[in-house]
Parts: sequence; C-alpha cells; structure tokens
Amino acid sequence: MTEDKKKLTLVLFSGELDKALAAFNIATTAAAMDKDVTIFFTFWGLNVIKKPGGRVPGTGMLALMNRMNRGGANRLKLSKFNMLGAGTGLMQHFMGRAGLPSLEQMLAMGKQLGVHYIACTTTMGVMGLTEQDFVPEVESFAGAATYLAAADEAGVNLFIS
Amino acid sequence: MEGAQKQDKMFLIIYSGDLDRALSAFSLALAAISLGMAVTMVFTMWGLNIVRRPDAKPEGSGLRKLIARLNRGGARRLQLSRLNMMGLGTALMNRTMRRSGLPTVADMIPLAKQMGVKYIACTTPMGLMGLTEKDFVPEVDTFVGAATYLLEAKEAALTYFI
Repeated sequence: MTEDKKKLTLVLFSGELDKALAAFNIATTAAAMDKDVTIFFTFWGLNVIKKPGGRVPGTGMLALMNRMNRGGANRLKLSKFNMLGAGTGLMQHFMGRAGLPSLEQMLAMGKQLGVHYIACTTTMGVMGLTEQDFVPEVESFAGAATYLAAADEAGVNLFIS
Repeated sequence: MEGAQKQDKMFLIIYSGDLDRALSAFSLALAAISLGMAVTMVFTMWGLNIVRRPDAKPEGSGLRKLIARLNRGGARRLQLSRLNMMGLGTALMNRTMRRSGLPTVADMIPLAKQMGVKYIACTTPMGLMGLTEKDFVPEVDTFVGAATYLLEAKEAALTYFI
C-alpha cells in the first residue's frame, strides 16, 4: 500500500440533497486543489447520477419501487426540513441567490475538473438499473473492489451516509 | 502519528442499524478482505442491532424494557432507511437480493468472520441498552470501549463511520 496525499475518495451512499451537496463541495474543492478525486455512488446515492427523465426500470413491485425512487440530481430532497418539498425549494432558491452552483452544475463541474465517477454495479443490479439509466458523466461501472483499489492509495476517504 | 506508516487495514465503525447501510458496510468489508487487507468492524449504538441475537433479552425494568421491545435486534430484522413502507420495501429488497443470488446480512456475518474480519461490540451503548455479551451472536468476540478500539483505528489506512 502506498498512501498518496494527493488522492481523495468518497463513498456517496446517501441520495439526499444536503448530503450530496456536501460531498460534491468537498470533491470539487479537492479537485480544484489538484487532487485526484473518485466518487463511488452506491445505494440511494445512485439517484444523484440517474438520468432525470429516465425510464422506470423493472416490472411489478420493482417498477413501483423505482417510481417512488426516481432519481436525477434536480429531484433530490433535503434530509431535514423538506416539508413536502417547500424546504428543498427554499434551499435551492437561497443557493441560487447566493450564487452557489446547483447539484447538477456541480456534477458537470466535477467532471470538467477530472473527478472520477463510479456507479456501484451491485446495488444497480438490486434496483434493476442498467448503464443506460445514468448520466454520461459516469466514467465507469464497477463493484466495491475497484473502488477500494482507489481508496487504498488515497490520503482521505469518506463515507457519506 | 505524524509520519507513521499506516497499516494496510480497514476500520469500520458501524453506528447505523439500517439494512441498506449494513449491506454497504459488509460489502466494503468483504471486498477489502478479499483484496488482502485486514478488516475490523466496530458495532456501536444502533449498529449493535446487526450483531444482536434475535432472541436477546435485555436486562432492566420499566422504561428500558419498553425501549428494548421497540428496538428488537437481529440481522434479519433490519429495515431500509428509505422506502421501507412498513416493511414492504424491505421485503422487496430482500426478495430481489435473493433472486440475484446476493448474500443477506445474516449470511455475510459468518462469511466475513470465516474470511478473517474482526468484530468488536462497543460496551458504552451496550450498557445504555441493557445488553450483555450473551445477547450477541457468537461471531462477536471482543467487547471494548472507544478508547481501546481507537488505538487500533488510528493505525488503519482506511477508516469509515457508517
């Protein structure tokens, strides 16, 4: 194992707006500081990189579950004070006023800065998702072992739960 | 600490007792140990439910007994943090996992142990919840507090709080 202080990895497990924003804030800042950044999207975090107008995969109950779990960076909700979307709307309004980028913009910005996006294939399988359900910024589709190979070399590794 | 060579080791502190988070933690642990890393998993607070025996009877009376009844443990009783839908979402998740041939948390506990993962239960929340060593599955062999396991955590190259 060689630890590289110039590397940072994140496991983005959560699909909540506030947590995703925190994750992307760290990722883009680190990338701007010339660090090599990898984000591994798993479970609810997959919603962050789903195509917004994408299909609802699966049949029967799985389709129902996916309909209730529609993704897309602009569909995420706050983990607290969502208030049926009012809190989330308010947060987005204030972010816009403060000149802060939205999650969608940060996703594109991160990509431009060279952040590596990996989607977890194990959880994709469970939810009936395929590669076509994700935005083109996603660089690779792999399991935990691939992610850990990157994490093992990094100085900072975070799990965003 | 400064300049000390970190060991090729993964250290997971599992605070959450949600099914999805437990699955993620065990997947990371299994992947790491397959890659030849040493892995230690600490279960604390709600995470204790993952390694509790399903028939555990916490000690105490009154309020503590009530809490224990509301907070029953066991790897098969864990529920999703989102889309649980009174157990429907969790049942669906379990079914899909079985169909895709993925192991459940209950399967992964002995599997990871066999592969050499070390399990620690944190004694502080155990006391809080009236749990004793006999309330846990036999795979858990170490019962210590934060000060003890942090000595180990600071040597690890990878540490996660889940």
